Amino acid sequence: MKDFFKSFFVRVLAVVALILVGIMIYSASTGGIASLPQTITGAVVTPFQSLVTGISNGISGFFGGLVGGGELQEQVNALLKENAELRQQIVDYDELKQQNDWYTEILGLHEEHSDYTFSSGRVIGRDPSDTYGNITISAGKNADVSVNDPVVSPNGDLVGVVSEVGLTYSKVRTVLDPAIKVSAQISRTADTGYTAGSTVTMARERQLRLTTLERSSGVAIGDYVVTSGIGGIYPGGLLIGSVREINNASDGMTLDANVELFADIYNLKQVMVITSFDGQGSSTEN
Amino acid sequence: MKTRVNSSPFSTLLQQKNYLPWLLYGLSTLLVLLLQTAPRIFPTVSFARPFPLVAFVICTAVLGGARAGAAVGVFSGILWGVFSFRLFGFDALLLMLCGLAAGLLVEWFLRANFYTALLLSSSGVLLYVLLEWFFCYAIFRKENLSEILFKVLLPNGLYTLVTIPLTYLLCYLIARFVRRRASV
Repeated sequence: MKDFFKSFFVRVLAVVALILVGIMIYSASTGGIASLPQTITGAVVTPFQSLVTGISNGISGFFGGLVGGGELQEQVNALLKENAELRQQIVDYDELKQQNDWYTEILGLHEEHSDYTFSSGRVIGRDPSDTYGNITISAGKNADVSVNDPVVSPNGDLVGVVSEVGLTYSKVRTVLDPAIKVSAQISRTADTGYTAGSTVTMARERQLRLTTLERSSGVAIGDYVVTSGIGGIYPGGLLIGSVREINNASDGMTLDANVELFADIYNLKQVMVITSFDGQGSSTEN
Repeated sequence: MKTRVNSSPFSTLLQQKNYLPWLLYGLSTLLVLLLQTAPRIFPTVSFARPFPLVAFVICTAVLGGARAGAAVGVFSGILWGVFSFRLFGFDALLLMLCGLAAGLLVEWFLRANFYTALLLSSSGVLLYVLLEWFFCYAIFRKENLSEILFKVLLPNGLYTLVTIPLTYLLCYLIARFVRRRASV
C-alpha cells in the first residue's frame, strides 16, 4: 500500500488533478466562453449526441403514434399553434394600443421582428442533475450564437438565454433558473418587474415569480407577461407567460405574481436563438 | 456473476503498448454518456433521470483496476462537462477520485464481483449526490437546499441504482475481452 502512493501512477494522477483544478478555475473566469478542452470535446461529442437524440426522438414519436395519439397529437399541435397565434394577437393589440397613445408621433410604427436574426438549434442534451430544464443545443459559434443571446421556442415564447457557447453547441439557462432574471412587463398595463426562478416545485409546474410590481399596478390573473426590452439582453415584446397568482411581497410594499410559462420547457425539441436585434447590447441584468 | 480479476491484464496490455482496451473503454464511455444525456432514452420518472456514468466508472474500476477506473473517470468527467452546468473539470475530478478509490478498495481489500460492484456503485452514487449538493449548492448558500437534495438529486441517484446491473454487464464484457487479449 505504501509503495502505491510512491508510484509513478499516483504522481500522474496528482498532475492530472492539478490540471483539472486549473481548468475549473479558468472555466470560472471565461464568462461563458467554453475553454479549449471543452470546445474540442464538444466539437467531437455533439455530433454523436445529435444523432442519438434524433434517434430517441424518432423512437418516442413512433411509439407515441402506436399508442393511439398520432391523429390526436396532430390536432393538439394545431390547436396549440392557433392558441399561440391568438395570444400573440392579444399582445399585439395591447402593444399597438400603447403605441397609439404614447409612441406613434415620436417613434412611428415598426413592423414586428424585422430586426431579428435567428439561428435554429435542436435540443441535444439535458443533464440529469439539472433542476430547471436547462438544455444544450446544437448551435454554437458556427451559427453566430453568442453568450447572452435570448432563446425562444418555435412559437416565439421566451425560453431563456445562452449562458455558455462552444464551437458547435451552446448551453441555455431557462428562465426557470433562479440565476436568470428578466426585465418584464404586464402587456395590458405596462407595469414592469423582474422574473426570477423560484423553488423546484414551481419550476416543475413551469412557474416563476414576477417581482417588484408596484402595489398600484392593475395586474390581474390571466394577464400576459412579456419582456420589457430594458437592459439590452432580451428584445421587448417576447411572450413569457400568464399571471396565475398574485401575492403581497415580503417587503409589504410591492406585489409578486406567479407566472406560468407558455414555453413547454421540459419537452422542447427545437429552439430559436435570436443572434441579433436592434438594441442588443451588454447588460448587467444577469 | 463472479469474476476473478486483478489489475494486471490491463497493465499487461499497456506494457505491451496494446491500446485496444483504451479504445474500448473510450467508446463505451462515450456510449454511456450519450445515453445519459439524450433527453428521451431513459424515461423520466417524476422528473427523475439517472446518471449511469458514475456507476460505469466504478464498475470499470472494480473489474479493470484502479488505473482503468481513474482514467475512465477523467475521460467520463470531461465528456460530461460538455453537457453539465457545473464548472468544467468538476465532474472529471470527482469521477477520477471515485474510480481510483473503488479500484484501490478492490485491489487491496475486496473481491471483484457483481456484489462488490453493486455495493461500491451504490455508495459512489450516494457520495456523488452529496458532493454535488455540497459543492454546487450548499457552499453557495442557494435557496431551497433541502428541496434540491430530496426532490432532485436523491431521486436521480435512486433511479441510477436501477441501471447498475446493465452497466456492470457492459464493464464485465469489456474486462473479459481485455483479459483474453492479455493472456494471448
